[in-house]
Amino acid sequence: MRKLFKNSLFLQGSIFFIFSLFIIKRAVKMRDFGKSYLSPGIFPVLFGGVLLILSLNLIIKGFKTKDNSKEINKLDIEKKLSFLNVTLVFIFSLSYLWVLNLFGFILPSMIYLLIFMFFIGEKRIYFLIPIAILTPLICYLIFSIGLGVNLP
Amino acid sequence: MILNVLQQITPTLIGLVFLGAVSGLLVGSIPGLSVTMATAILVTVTYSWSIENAMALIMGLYVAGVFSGAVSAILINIPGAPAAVITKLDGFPMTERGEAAEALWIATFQSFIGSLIGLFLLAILAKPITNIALQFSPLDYFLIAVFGLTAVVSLTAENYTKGFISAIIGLFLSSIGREAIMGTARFSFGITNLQAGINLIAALIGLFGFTEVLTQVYKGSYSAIAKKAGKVKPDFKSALKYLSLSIRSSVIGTFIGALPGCGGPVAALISYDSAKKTVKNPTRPFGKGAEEGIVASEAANNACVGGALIPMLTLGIPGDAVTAVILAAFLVHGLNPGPLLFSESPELFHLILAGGFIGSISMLILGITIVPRLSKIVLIPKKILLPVVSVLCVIGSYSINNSLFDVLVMMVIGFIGFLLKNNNYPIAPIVLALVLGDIMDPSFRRAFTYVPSLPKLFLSIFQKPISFILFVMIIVSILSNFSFIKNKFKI
Repeated sequence: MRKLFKNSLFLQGSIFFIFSLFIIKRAVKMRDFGKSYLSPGIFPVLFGGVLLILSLNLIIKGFKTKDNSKEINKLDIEKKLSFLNVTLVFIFSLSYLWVLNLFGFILPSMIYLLIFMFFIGEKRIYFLIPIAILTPLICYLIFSIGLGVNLP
Repeated sequence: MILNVLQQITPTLIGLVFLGAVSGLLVGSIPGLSVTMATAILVTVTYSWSIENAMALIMGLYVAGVFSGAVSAILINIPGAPAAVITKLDGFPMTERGEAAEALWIATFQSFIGSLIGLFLLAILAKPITNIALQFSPLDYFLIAVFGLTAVVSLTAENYTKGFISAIIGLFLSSIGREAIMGTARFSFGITNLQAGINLIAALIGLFGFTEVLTQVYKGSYSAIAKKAGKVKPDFKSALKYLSLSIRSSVIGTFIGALPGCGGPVAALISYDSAKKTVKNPTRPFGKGAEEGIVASEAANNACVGGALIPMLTLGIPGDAVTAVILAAFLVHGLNPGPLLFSESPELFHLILAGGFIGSISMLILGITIVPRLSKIVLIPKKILLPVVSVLCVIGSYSINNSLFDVLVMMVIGFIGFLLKNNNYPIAPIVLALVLGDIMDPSFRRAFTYVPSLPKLFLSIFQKPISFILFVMIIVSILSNFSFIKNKFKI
């Protein structure tokens, strides 16, 4: 079983299978206003049903796929590190969103740009600081003053 | 007719249309700032103006704005509008090969051709096209949306199952919020903000902008998108070699545009599908930088401008979101679009045609002079570009409703998009299913109200030629993905 869950197709199929069951269960419960064909749940039931079939197809394909875990293991550490980077950027972006709500656009954007650029490898300070400071200011000038678009 | 249109062209009209076109180019090329939003702002700004001046400004913005969605799609892989999703399939691979300027030139010229053909068809075929469009029943709308879905899956996915799963995720996202018929909140989990549904533009920015940022971080490749941006050669002679494909795509675009609610994304998709099936020797394989892909997509989505105006002017039914806002402008100025418009104010119809024509020329001029300068963006290293794009994604998604919730939606959908993309699930079907879901669900349920049983509904497909043709197109689109059929017909 553990080997099966290491197989990505089987794992993906299982996730979508559970997801399709969730869609169908929620959709069936929706009020039908007396006529089932007008029910707001009919369309989600339909595409949930299609997803169920497709997820079973993935699960079957997962069963048929040969186990190549030895080859995968060599790449695993590299992939995990890259995925960790992505997760950090995502969490950092969510924090930026939270800070935007508190301090407005300009200052949090400067800090966000500075840290993000540094994180992905831009170490030249003479490059980092002007870009981090100027970009939010230019955006503010163009969008807020020029185009009348509201900024956070 | 031609003389009447020419009589409307005055220096004031040219100036206003050009001003509108410049605004359209700026607004449309920034993901998140939609042409609809800009038109709505213009309606309020031009409230006290004469209807002629207001329409001139709006037509310039509309024509150039529809084209400009392709600019960011080609340069940074983030479509400025949903209609440009198809353009990016071949536009961005061209940019990666160092041919950004060439791709932009093709998009500019084909948008110009598409606009002209759309306006020409508007001028001569407004009434017959409206009559055909009126015969489309809810079932036909449902079938055309299903066809769009099957087409996008077969066009963008190497694995049909995964492509379809992507499309269903899009349908799920489109079903979140209050549905159109009964107003029941679906899949909103008691979150008030979700009851308004997932904003299409926020999802678009998330799936193409933020997903791309995360994908590049995952790959760890931070060099520039391309080593060169290429050079624009406004070579009209070579651009005209695609004339037959442009005309075909424009006719498809005009007709789809005339179907209320369908609009640019569906037109571009069907036209691209048609090009992929009929063009025997493309410059490169479709989806890998084929010039024909940009031709089909851009000619069709700009021809939609003329198409969408057809039901708006003849019946008072808007063809897309922008024409709905233009309709509001008509009403604000005390005019009622519909069959009487042609007899009561024919000069206004001529003015719209003249505005569209000058708008197309303005778009071509801007496409040759300003747009190539934007292509230099691809030379910026990703270490700088990615954080800046992230900030632009935040601005774009916030500006739709001035809501940080839309920014959160953008980021979460972007992360889901990254997970899917990383596991070889295509992204384009999600966005197009998000658009098509809004057509499919209500059309399906309305079709049922006419024929309230599934077997009878199925049989009714064979009773109308339009339904039957659409049904056959769906079957062909699905079957063409089976390997034994691909091999037999060498698709």
